[in-house]
Amino acid sequence: MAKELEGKVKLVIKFYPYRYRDYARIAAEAAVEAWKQGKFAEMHELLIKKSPRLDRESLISYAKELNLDVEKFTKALDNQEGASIIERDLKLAKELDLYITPAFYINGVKVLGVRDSDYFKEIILKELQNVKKK
Amino acid sequence: MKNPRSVLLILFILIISAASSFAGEQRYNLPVENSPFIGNANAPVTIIEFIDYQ
Repeated sequence: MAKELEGKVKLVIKFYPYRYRDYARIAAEAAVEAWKQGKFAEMHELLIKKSPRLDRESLISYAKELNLDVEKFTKALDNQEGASIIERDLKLAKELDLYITPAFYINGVKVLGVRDSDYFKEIILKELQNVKKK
Repeated sequence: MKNPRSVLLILFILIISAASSFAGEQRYNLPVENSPFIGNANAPVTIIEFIDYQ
């Protein structure tokens, strides 16, 4: 995201792992646990960069790379400790009738599918102007 | 289109429908509590992303 938008945008992540993809769910678990250990942004970036290499062993190696508590991390994956968060998000996605990812809500306005950064920038700048007017 | 009045009428309908579709832009109010986020907590723009990492 461009420098001029720094501090102006907050990105909130909701987990929507597809049921039929092998590592979607465990990757979401990894993100939740990294969040609990205070390294969400780092893990989020890494998961996107490394996808689709998201099997259990790979995820554990990413946790090591980010200096997470690996023992706690591994336990969290194996016990699916992020389930309540992930299930809550899945329920919300279902209520919203979402069936594709990524799906975005920019100040509540829905945008479906992959878009380039200019597309987002335009919407964000428009939203910033709306805020100024108020 | 021979009749200028009918052209005007069609134009009028087009403008009205365009305006109403713009005004009808739906905004969803989604909960963001207890979800991870990146960036400034008090930022004026909030993007919620539903993601599948795979």
